[in-house]
Amino acid sequence: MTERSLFQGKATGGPLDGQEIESRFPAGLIVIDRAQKLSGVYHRQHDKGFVYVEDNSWVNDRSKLDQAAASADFDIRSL
Amino acid sequence: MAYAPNALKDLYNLWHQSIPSAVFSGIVSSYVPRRGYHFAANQLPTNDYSRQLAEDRIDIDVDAASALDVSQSTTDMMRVTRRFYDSWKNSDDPRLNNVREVIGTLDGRSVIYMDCQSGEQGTADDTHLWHNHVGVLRRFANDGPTMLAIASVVKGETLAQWLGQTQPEEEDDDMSAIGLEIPVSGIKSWTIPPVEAGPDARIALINITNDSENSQYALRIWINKGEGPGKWSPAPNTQEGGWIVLKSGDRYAARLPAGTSCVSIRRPNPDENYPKFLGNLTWALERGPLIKK
Repeated sequence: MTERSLFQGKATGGPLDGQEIESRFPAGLIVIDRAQKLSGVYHRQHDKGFVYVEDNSWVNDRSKLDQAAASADFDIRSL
Repeated sequence: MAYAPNALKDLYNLWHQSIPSAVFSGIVSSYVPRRGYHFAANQLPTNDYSRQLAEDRIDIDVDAASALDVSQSTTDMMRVTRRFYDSWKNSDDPRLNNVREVIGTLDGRSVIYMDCQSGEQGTADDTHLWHNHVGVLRRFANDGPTMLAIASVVKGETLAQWLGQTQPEEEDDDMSAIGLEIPVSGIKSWTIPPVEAGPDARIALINITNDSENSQYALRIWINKGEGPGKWSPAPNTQEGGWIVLKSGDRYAARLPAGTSCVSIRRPNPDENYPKFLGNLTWALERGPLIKK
Protein backbone atom coordinates (compact mmCIF):
# COMPACT_ATOMS: atom_id res chain seq x y z
CA MET A 1 0.00 0.00 0.00
CA THR A 2 2.99 2.32 0.01
CA GLU A 3 4.57 1.95 -3.41
CA ARG A 4 6.60 5.01 -4.28
CA SER A 5 9.88 6.17 -5.70
CA LEU A 6 12.97 5.15 -3.77
CA PHE A 7 16.47 6.47 -4.19
CA GLN A 8 18.84 3.53 -4.22
CA GLY A 9 22.59 3.09 -4.52
CA LYS A 10 25.77 1.70 -3.04
CA ALA A 11 26.99 3.09 0.28
CA THR A 12 30.60 4.23 0.52
CA GLY A 13 32.13 4.55 3.99
CA GLY A 14 30.52 4.40 7.40
CA PRO A 15 28.59 1.58 9.01
CA LEU A 16 26.81 0.49 5.81
CA ASP A 17 29.92 0.55 3.60
CA GLY A 18 29.50 -1.56 0.49
CA GLN A 19 25.80 -2.23 0.99
CA GLU A 20 23.04 -1.35 -1.44
CA ILE A 21 20.91 1.12 0.50
CA GLU A 22 17.79 3.15 -0.15
CA SER A 23 16.24 6.43 0.91
CA ARG A 24 12.73 7.74 0.42
CA PHE A 25 14.12 11.23 -0.01
CA PRO A 26 16.57 12.63 -2.55
CA ALA A 27 19.33 14.14 -0.39
CA GLY A 28 20.23 10.90 1.33
CA LEU A 29 20.06 9.02 4.60
CA ILE A 30 20.84 10.00 8.20
CA VAL A 31 21.97 7.00 10.24
CA ILE A 32 21.78 6.84 14.04
CA ASP A 33 23.42 4.27 16.29
CA ARG A 34 22.05 5.04 19.76
CA ALA A 35 23.95 2.17 21.38
CA GLN A 36 27.32 3.44 20.15
CA LYS A 37 26.25 7.12 20.29
CA LEU A 38 27.33 7.55 16.66
CA SER A 39 25.63 9.18 13.72
CA GLY A 40 26.34 10.40 10.22
CA VAL A 41 24.87 11.20 6.86
CA TYR A 42 24.97 9.27 3.62
CA HIS A 43 24.81 12.03 1.02
CA ARG A 44 23.32 10.88 -2.25
CA GLN A 45 25.48 11.69 -5.25
CA HIS A 46 24.13 10.92 -8.67
CA ASP A 47 27.23 9.14 -9.98
CA LYS A 48 28.63 7.71 -6.74
CA GLY A 49 25.66 6.36 -4.82
CA PHE A 50 25.70 7.38 -1.17
CA VAL A 51 28.85 8.83 0.39
CA TYR A 52 29.21 8.84 4.19
CA VAL A 53 30.15 11.83 6.33
CA GLU A 54 30.39 11.24 10.09
CA ASP A 55 28.42 13.78 12.09
CA ASN A 56 27.73 12.82 15.69
CA SER A 57 25.59 15.88 16.33
CA TRP A 58 22.52 13.99 15.19
CA VAL A 59 22.55 11.35 17.89
CA ASN A 60 22.17 13.80 20.77
CA ASP A 61 19.98 16.47 19.23
CA ARG A 62 16.33 15.48 19.26
CA SER A 63 15.06 18.76 17.83
CA LYS A 64 17.50 18.56 14.92
CA LEU A 65 16.36 15.02 14.16
CA ASP A 66 12.71 16.02 14.42
CA GLN A 67 13.30 18.79 11.90
CA ALA A 68 14.97 16.34 9.55
CA ALA A 69 12.09 13.89 9.97
CA ALA A 70 9.66 16.64 9.01
CA SER A 71 11.62 17.64 5.93
CA ALA A 72 11.59 16.14 2.47
CA ASP A 73 15.38 15.93 2.18
CA PHE A 74 16.76 13.07 4.26
CA ASP A 75 15.47 9.72 5.40
CA ILE A 76 16.39 8.58 8.92
CA ARG A 77 17.53 5.09 9.81
CA SER A 78 18.37 3.58 13.18
CA LEU A 79 21.16 1.00 13.30
CA MET B 1 -0.87 21.74 4.38
CA ALA B 2 -0.89 18.77 6.73
CA TYR B 3 0.09 18.93 10.40
CA ALA B 4 1.46 16.29 12.76
CA PRO B 5 -0.99 15.57 15.61
CA ASN B 6 0.42 15.75 19.14
CA ALA B 7 -1.10 12.36 19.93
CA LEU B 8 1.11 10.74 17.28
CA LYS B 9 4.14 12.57 18.64
CA ASP B 10 3.22 11.24 22.08
CA LEU B 11 3.04 7.75 20.61
CA TYR B 12 6.62 8.10 19.44
CA ASN B 13 7.71 9.30 22.89
CA LEU B 14 6.08 6.27 24.52
CA TRP B 15 7.61 4.02 21.85
CA HIS B 16 11.09 5.35 22.48
CA GLN B 17 10.74 4.83 26.23
CA SER B 18 10.40 1.09 25.73
CA ILE B 19 12.55 0.60 22.61
CA PRO B 20 15.93 2.33 23.07
CA SER B 21 16.99 2.13 19.41
CA ALA B 22 13.80 3.83 18.22
CA VAL B 23 14.31 6.98 16.14
CA PHE B 24 11.49 9.23 15.00
CA SER B 25 11.27 9.06 11.21
CA GLY B 26 8.27 11.20 10.38
CA ILE B 27 4.52 11.80 10.46
CA VAL B 28 3.82 14.31 7.69
CA SER B 29 5.17 13.20 4.35
CA SER B 30 6.09 14.59 1.02
CA TYR B 31 6.42 11.30 -0.82
CA VAL B 32 5.63 11.21 -4.47
CA PRO B 33 3.07 10.15 -5.46
CA ARG B 34 0.82 11.40 -2.66
CA ARG B 35 -0.96 8.48 -1.11
CA GLY B 36 -2.03 7.18 2.28
CA TYR B 37 -2.05 8.20 5.91
CA HIS B 38 1.11 10.33 5.97
CA PHE B 39 -0.96 12.92 4.12
CA ALA B 40 -3.95 14.87 5.38
CA ALA B 41 -7.28 13.94 3.82
CA ASN B 42 -7.53 17.34 2.16
CA GLN B 43 -4.28 16.67 0.30
CA LEU B 44 -5.55 13.49 -1.31
CA PRO B 45 -8.11 12.59 -3.95
CA THR B 46 -11.35 11.18 -2.59
CA ASN B 47 -10.57 7.78 -4.12
CA ASP B 48 -7.34 7.35 -2.14
CA TYR B 49 -7.38 4.10 -0.20
CA SER B 50 -6.91 5.99 3.07
CA ARG B 51 -10.19 7.90 2.59
CA GLN B 52 -12.61 5.02 2.04
CA LEU B 53 -13.60 3.63 5.45
CA ALA B 54 -16.20 5.49 7.52
CA GLU B 55 -13.57 6.25 10.19
CA ASP B 56 -11.43 7.79 7.45
CA ARG B 57 -14.24 9.99 6.07
CA ILE B 58 -16.65 10.99 8.84
CA ASP B 59 -15.83 13.08 11.91
CA ILE B 60 -12.18 13.52 10.96
CA ASP B 61 -9.70 16.38 11.04
CA VAL B 62 -9.07 16.90 7.33
CA ASP B 63 -5.75 18.70 8.00
CA ALA B 64 -4.18 15.96 10.16
CA ALA B 65 -1.66 13.42 8.94
CA SER B 66 -2.39 10.06 10.50
CA ALA B 67 0.67 7.81 10.34
CA LEU B 68 3.91 7.44 12.27
CA ASP B 69 7.23 6.04 11.05
CA VAL B 70 9.76 4.78 13.62
CA SER B 71 13.16 3.40 12.63
CA GLN B 72 14.85 0.81 14.84
CA SER B 73 17.71 -1.63 14.87
CA THR B 74 17.06 -4.88 13.02
CA THR B 75 16.60 -6.77 16.29
CA ASP B 76 14.08 -4.27 17.59
CA MET B 77 12.31 -4.14 14.21
CA MET B 78 11.70 -7.89 14.41
CA ARG B 79 10.72 -7.73 18.08
CA VAL B 80 8.22 -4.88 17.68
CA THR B 81 6.76 -6.20 14.42
CA ARG B 82 6.22 -9.56 16.12
CA ARG B 83 4.30 -7.82 18.90
CA PHE B 84 2.13 -6.06 16.32
CA TYR B 85 1.66 -9.33 14.44
CA ASP B 86 0.56 -11.24 17.55
CA SER B 87 -1.92 -8.52 18.50
CA TRP B 88 -3.20 -8.30 14.92
CA LYS B 89 -3.77 -12.06 14.76
CA ASN B 90 -5.62 -12.17 18.09
CA SER B 91 -9.25 -11.27 17.39
CA ASP B 92 -9.85 -10.77 21.12
CA ASP B 93 -7.16 -8.08 21.32
CA PRO B 94 -8.72 -4.60 20.90
CA ARG B 95 -5.53 -2.58 20.98
CA LEU B 96 -5.21 -2.16 17.21
CA ASN B 97 -8.92 -1.60 16.58
CA ASN B 98 -8.34 2.05 15.65
CA VAL B 99 -5.34 1.27 13.45
CA ARG B 100 -5.64 0.82 9.70
CA GLU B 101 -2.24 -0.62 8.86
CA VAL B 102 1.09 -1.68 10.28
CA ILE B 103 4.20 -2.42 8.21
CA GLY B 104 7.48 -3.93 9.36
CA THR B 105 9.54 -7.10 9.26
CA LEU B 106 9.33 -10.35 11.21
CA ASP B 107 12.62 -11.79 9.99
CA GLY B 108 14.80 -8.85 8.89
CA ARG B 109 14.61 -10.01 5.27
CA SER B 110 11.01 -9.61 4.09
CA VAL B 111 8.43 -6.90 4.65
CA ILE B 112 4.95 -7.60 6.00
CA TYR B 113 1.90 -5.35 5.57
CA MET B 114 -0.94 -5.91 8.06
CA ASP B 115 -4.37 -4.42 7.36
CA CYS B 116 -5.89 -4.16 10.82
CA GLN B 117 -9.39 -3.53 9.46
CA SER B 118 -9.74 -6.17 6.74
CA GLY B 119 -7.23 -8.64 8.15
CA GLU B 120 -5.48 -8.85 4.80
CA GLN B 121 -1.73 -9.38 4.65
CA GLY B 122 0.66 -8.03 2.02
CA THR B 123 4.06 -6.48 1.57
CA ALA B 124 5.62 -3.08 0.90
CA ASP B 125 8.98 -1.54 -0.02
CA ASP B 126 12.30 -2.50 1.57
CA THR B 127 12.60 0.64 3.71
CA HIS B 128 10.23 -1.16 6.06
CA LEU B 129 13.07 -3.51 6.92
CA TRP B 130 14.35 -0.65 9.07
CA HIS B 131 11.27 1.36 9.92
CA ASN B 132 7.84 0.47 11.27
CA HIS B 133 4.89 2.30 9.75
CA VAL B 134 1.66 2.65 11.72
CA GLY B 135 -1.31 4.22 9.93
CA VAL B 136 -4.12 5.19 12.30
CA LEU B 137 -7.73 5.57 11.18
CA ARG B 138 -8.13 9.29 10.56
CA ARG B 139 -10.85 9.79 13.17
CA PHE B 140 -8.36 8.74 15.85
CA ALA B 141 -5.30 10.71 14.73
CA ASN B 142 -5.64 12.97 17.78
CA ASP B 143 -6.91 10.33 20.20
CA GLY B 144 -4.73 9.72 23.26
CA PRO B 145 -6.29 6.39 24.36
CA THR B 146 -5.73 5.01 20.84
CA MET B 147 -2.04 5.85 21.14
CA LEU B 148 -1.77 4.34 24.63
CA ALA B 149 -3.26 1.13 23.25
CA ILE B 150 -0.75 1.04 20.39
CA ALA B 151 2.09 1.84 22.79
CA SER B 152 1.02 -1.09 24.95
CA VAL B 153 1.58 -3.40 21.99
CA VAL B 154 4.95 -1.83 21.21
CA LYS B 155 5.99 -2.19 24.84
CA GLY B 156 5.20 -5.90 24.76
CA GLU B 157 2.44 -5.87 27.35
CA THR B 158 0.16 -8.89 27.33
CA LEU B 159 -3.52 -8.45 26.60
CA ALA B 160 -4.25 -9.29 30.25
CA GLN B 161 -1.88 -6.59 31.42
CA TRP B 162 -3.52 -4.09 29.09
CA LEU B 163 -7.06 -5.01 30.09
CA GLY B 164 -6.02 -4.74 33.73
CA GLN B 165 -4.95 -1.19 33.06
CA THR B 166 -7.91 -0.10 31.01
CA GLN B 167 -11.00 -1.54 32.71
CA PRO B 168 -12.11 1.30 34.97
CA GLU B 169 -13.36 0.73 38.50
CA GLU B 170 -16.84 1.97 39.30
CA GLU B 171 -15.32 4.71 41.43
CA ASP B 172 -12.41 5.86 39.26
CA ASP B 173 -11.83 9.44 40.28
CA ASP B 174 -9.73 11.51 37.93
CA MET B 175 -6.64 12.47 39.94
CA SER B 176 -4.97 14.42 37.12
CA ALA B 177 -3.72 17.90 37.91
CA ILE B 178 -3.32 20.78 35.50
CA GLY B 179 -1.89 24.27 35.72
CA LEU B 180 0.84 23.48 38.25
CA GLU B 181 2.90 26.64 38.37
CA ILE B 182 6.67 26.50 37.88
CA PRO B 183 8.35 29.27 39.92
CA VAL B 184 10.55 31.83 38.18
CA SER B 185 13.49 30.96 40.42
CA GLY B 186 14.51 28.12 42.70
CA ILE B 187 13.52 24.47 42.68
CA LYS B 188 9.99 23.31 43.23
CA SER B 189 9.09 19.68 43.67
CA TRP B 190 5.77 17.93 43.71
CA THR B 191 4.95 14.76 45.62
CA ILE B 192 2.72 12.59 43.46
CA PRO B 193 0.99 9.25 44.09
CA PRO B 194 3.53 6.53 43.21
CA VAL B 195 3.20 5.74 39.52
CA GLU B 196 1.73 2.28 38.81
CA ALA B 197 2.02 1.38 42.50
CA GLY B 198 0.09 1.55 45.76
CA PRO B 199 -3.69 1.58 46.27
CA ASP B 200 -4.21 4.22 43.55
CA ALA B 201 -1.95 2.66 40.92
CA ARG B 202 -2.15 4.41 37.56
CA ILE B 203 0.15 5.27 34.70
CA ALA B 204 1.12 8.94 34.70
CA LEU B 205 2.43 11.39 32.15
CA ILE B 206 3.98 14.84 32.34
CA ASN B 207 2.62 17.37 29.88
CA ILE B 208 4.11 20.80 29.32
CA THR B 209 2.89 23.33 26.75
CA ASN B 210 3.02 27.07 27.36
CA ASP B 211 2.54 30.38 25.60
CA SER B 212 5.92 32.09 25.82
CA GLU B 213 5.15 34.52 22.99
CA ASN B 214 8.26 34.56 20.80
CA SER B 215 10.64 33.30 23.45
CA GLN B 216 12.19 29.89 23.92
CA TYR B 217 12.25 28.56 27.46
CA ALA B 218 14.16 25.83 29.24
CA LEU B 219 13.24 23.61 32.15
CA ARG B 220 15.19 21.01 34.10
CA ILE B 221 13.04 18.07 35.10
CA TRP B 222 14.18 15.39 37.53
CA ILE B 223 12.30 12.55 39.11
CA ASN B 224 12.74 10.32 42.16
CA LYS B 225 11.11 7.10 43.30
CA GLY B 226 11.51 7.91 46.97
CA GLU B 227 14.84 6.07 47.04
CA GLY B 228 16.93 8.79 48.63
CA PRO B 229 19.13 11.77 47.74
CA GLY B 230 21.43 9.91 45.36
CA LYS B 231 18.65 8.47 43.25
CA TRP B 232 17.44 11.47 41.29
CA SER B 233 17.35 10.95 37.54
CA PRO B 234 16.41 13.05 34.51
CA ALA B 235 12.81 12.66 33.35
CA PRO B 236 12.30 10.62 30.16
CA ASN B 237 12.71 12.36 26.80
CA THR B 238 14.88 15.13 28.23
CA GLN B 239 18.31 16.13 27.03
CA GLU B 240 21.52 15.65 29.02
CA GLY B 241 21.06 16.84 32.59
CA GLY B 242 17.28 16.61 32.40
CA TRP B 243 16.84 19.75 30.31
CA ILE B 244 14.16 20.51 27.75
CA VAL B 245 14.09 23.58 25.51
CA LEU B 246 10.72 24.51 24.08
CA LYS B 247 9.28 27.18 21.85
CA SER B 248 5.91 28.76 22.48
CA GLY B 249 3.25 26.15 21.80
CA ASP B 250 5.71 23.24 21.70
CA ARG B 251 4.68 20.22 23.71
CA TYR B 252 6.81 18.05 25.95
CA ALA B 253 5.22 14.81 27.08
CA ALA B 254 6.67 11.79 28.82
CA ARG B 255 5.34 8.73 30.57
CA LEU B 256 6.79 8.55 34.06
CA PRO B 257 8.57 5.34 35.06
CA ALA B 258 6.80 3.02 37.49
CA GLY B 259 7.45 3.99 41.08
CA THR B 260 8.03 7.69 40.44
CA SER B 261 6.75 9.62 43.46
CA CYS B 262 8.33 13.04 43.07
CA VAL B 263 8.79 15.46 40.15
CA SER B 264 11.22 18.36 40.51
CA ILE B 265 11.20 21.20 37.98
CA ARG B 266 13.21 24.38 37.82
CA ARG B 267 14.13 27.07 35.33
CA PRO B 268 17.77 27.88 34.44
CA ASN B 269 19.90 29.79 36.91
CA PRO B 270 21.45 33.06 35.66
CA ASP B 271 24.80 31.36 35.04
CA GLU B 272 23.35 28.48 33.02
CA ASN B 273 23.44 28.69 29.25
CA TYR B 274 19.79 27.96 28.53
CA PRO B 275 17.08 30.31 27.24
CA LYS B 276 15.37 32.12 30.09
CA PHE B 277 11.72 33.19 30.16
CA LEU B 278 10.30 35.08 33.11
CA GLY B 279 6.62 34.72 32.30
CA ASN B 280 4.10 32.26 33.71
CA LEU B 281 4.90 28.60 33.03
CA THR B 282 2.84 25.61 34.08
CA TRP B 283 2.84 21.84 33.74
CA ALA B 284 0.23 19.12 34.04
CA LEU B 285 0.25 15.66 35.58
CA GLU B 286 -1.98 13.30 33.60
CA ARG B 287 -2.96 10.05 35.24
CA GLY B 288 -4.54 7.09 33.46
CA PRO B 289 -7.25 4.66 34.55
CA LEU B 290 -6.88 2.77 37.81
CA ILE B 291 -4.77 -0.37 37.29
CA LYS B 292 -6.72 -3.41 38.40
CA LYS B 293 -4.83 -5.86 40.57
